[in-house]
Amino acid sequence: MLNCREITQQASAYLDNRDEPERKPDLQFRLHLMLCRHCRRFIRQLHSARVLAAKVQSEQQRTEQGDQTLARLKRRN
Amino acid sequence: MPLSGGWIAVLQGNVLYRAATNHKGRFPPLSVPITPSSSDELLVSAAQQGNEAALVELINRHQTLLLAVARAIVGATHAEDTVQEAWLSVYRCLATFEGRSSFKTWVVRIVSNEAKTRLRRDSRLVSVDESEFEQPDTDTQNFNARGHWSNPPTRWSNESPDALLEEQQLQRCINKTLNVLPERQKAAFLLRDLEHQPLEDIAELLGISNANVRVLLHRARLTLMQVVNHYQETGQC
Repeated sequence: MLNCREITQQASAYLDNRDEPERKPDLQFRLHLMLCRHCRRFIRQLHSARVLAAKVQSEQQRTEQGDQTLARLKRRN
Repeated sequence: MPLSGGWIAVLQGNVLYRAATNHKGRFPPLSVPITPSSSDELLVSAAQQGNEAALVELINRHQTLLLAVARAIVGATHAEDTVQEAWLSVYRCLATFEGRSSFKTWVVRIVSNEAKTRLRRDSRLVSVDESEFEQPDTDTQNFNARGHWSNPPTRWSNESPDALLEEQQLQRCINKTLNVLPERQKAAFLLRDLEHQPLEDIAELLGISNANVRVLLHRARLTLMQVVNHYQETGQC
C-alpha cells in the first residue's frame, strides 16, 4: 500500500492520468485516497491550484506585439 | 449551412456573416471584422488572403506561448529571435497551411523545430540544469518516518478555482510566481494545464523525456499550490 508521502509524489501523475480516461486507473492510489482525507485534500488543492493558475495565465496570454512583429517580417521578407 | 452555390453562413459571436467557400471548401471571410474573439480558423483564412490585421491578431494571441516554448529550449536570450524566425516561416508558408492540425499546433511545432535547430547549431546556447529533472525533495517536515502525514495540508477557505480567482491579491501572487518559474517548468505547465496537450507531445516539443515532463509539471504545480497555501495562511504572497 502506498504511503502518504508517495501519494504526494505521484499526485501530478494521478491528475494527468485522470484527465485521460484511456489510461488505466491506479487502483492502489485510489484505495489510499478512499481511506485518507489528508491526501484527498492534498489532491484537491493541487488540482485547484493548477486550474487557478491556468485561468490567471490565460488572462495574461495576449500580447500587443503583433504590429511590431509584422513590420519586422515585412522588412525581412 | 450552405446558402447557395459557394456560399456558407458563418456564425461569429452573435453575428451571422455570409462568406464564400474557396476551392478547399473553407470560408475565407470577405468583410469579417477581426476581433479578439474571432476564431483562429477565421483569422487564418483571412490572413491567407492577405488580411494583415488577421495576422497581427494571430501573433498577439500566440506570442506568449511561443516565447515560453522557445525559452524552454534555447533559453531566454535567444527566444525572441527564435520566435521571430518562426513567424517569418509562418508568413512565407501560410498559403500552404491546410488546416490538418490547428494553427496553434502548427506554429508551436515550427517554433520547437526552429529552437532545436538553433540548439544543434550551437550547443552552448543552454546549459542544461539536470537538477530540474530530479524529483522534488521529499518534504521531511510534513511526514513521519513511515511516510504518513505529521503536518497535514491545512484547509483552504475555499477550494474552488473560480472562487479563488476572485481574490485579486492571490491573482497577483500567482502571476508573480508564473513569471519566475524556471523556463521549462513554465512551458510544460502552459502546454499541459492551459493548452491541454498530451504529455507525449509536450515531451517531443521540448525535446525531453515523458518522465522529465512529469517532473517539471509536478514541480510547477507544487510551487503554485504553495503560493495558494501561503496566501491562505497570511493573506500575502
